[in-house]
Amino acid sequence: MLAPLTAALTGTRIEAEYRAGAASLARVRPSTHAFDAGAYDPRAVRRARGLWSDRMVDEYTSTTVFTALASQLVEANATLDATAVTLRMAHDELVHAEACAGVVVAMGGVARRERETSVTAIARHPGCSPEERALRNVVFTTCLSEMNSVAYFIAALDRMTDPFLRDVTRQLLADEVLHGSFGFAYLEAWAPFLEQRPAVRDGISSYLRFAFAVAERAFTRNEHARLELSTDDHALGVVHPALAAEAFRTTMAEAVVPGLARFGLAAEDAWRRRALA
Amino acid sequence: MDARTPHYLRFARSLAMATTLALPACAGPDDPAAADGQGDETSTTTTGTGAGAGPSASAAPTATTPGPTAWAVPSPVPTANAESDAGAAGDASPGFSSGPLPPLDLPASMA
Repeated sequence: MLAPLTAALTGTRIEAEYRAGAASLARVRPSTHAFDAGAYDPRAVRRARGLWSDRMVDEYTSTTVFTALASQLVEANATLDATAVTLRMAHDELVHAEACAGVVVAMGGVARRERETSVTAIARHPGCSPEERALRNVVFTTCLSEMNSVAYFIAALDRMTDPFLRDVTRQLLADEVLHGSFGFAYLEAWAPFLEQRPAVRDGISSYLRFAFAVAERAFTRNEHARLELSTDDHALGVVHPALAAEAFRTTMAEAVVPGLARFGLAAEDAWRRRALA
Repeated sequence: MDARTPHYLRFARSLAMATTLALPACAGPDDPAAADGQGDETSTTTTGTGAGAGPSASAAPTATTPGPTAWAVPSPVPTANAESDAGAAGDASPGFSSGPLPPLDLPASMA
């Protein structure tokens, strides 16, 4: 079912509690800069605004991934800090959605988008133990997916000069750093479990072949687009899809793979033989 | 890793290989808040995210119903119509923008 997404809040004490929670978890001060649309080519503004609008929807929707993951951590009898931080990451996504909506408005748009309200279930990995299920999904969502977000935002920041957009991007990046590194810390916590269960390590390694391919399919879309970005596009943080694809592959091969290999996972082989079927 | 290594890779690798978080590295030199890890309680007033708005008159306080507390950042210039940003990124879209992808089950052919 389609429904409009906005950043409307309730106007009740729920809103006040949300504000208090978001403020207590914020790592970066909100921007004091105002966006000056008149300083840029309107076509570049519209393109960048479209990205932030897309991001608003993706951030809001992806909160369900972390909430589902938290349930799987409970099934795996994970320590409460791991589950709590997983829920915190779900909260981060909602705050990010609101931040993205603010950018859309600041850039002259209306933060309202139609979106599909159905929730995509996360993998159950039939036949896996609850512990392995949680490990597989933590690795995919954080070590692969969110680590890609870290690289993408840094690649954008390296070219982005607009002070307002730089501040908001830093706000998101500061949380993505936690999200991207969560899985490595989780693997560290579960290292003794993995050391005693080589079959689980092998199962995760096998899953990684597919996981890398799924992530690559999602994050390298449009990499061959014939698209010329202007100086203003770069100033506003638009990353060419070819660079986004390069950042994904380089980050997986040279950061994520060695990071996962530290825990005895056959990540290099999985990356080299990644496949969707 | 050398001087030609992209910034994003140096950063990502430091995260993947370290056992502690490196949050201050997200900050620019002009952003002391990130360096000391402190938030800012003025965030709602600075960004104008609806704080201070009166009780909503909307009968349906849901995320999909715009109400009087919807976004109002400083000097908004609402020139676009409601759906005009859908697809506006065009070929510049990298695919899924942000937030984690939902993990999928391994296909039977690979199990």
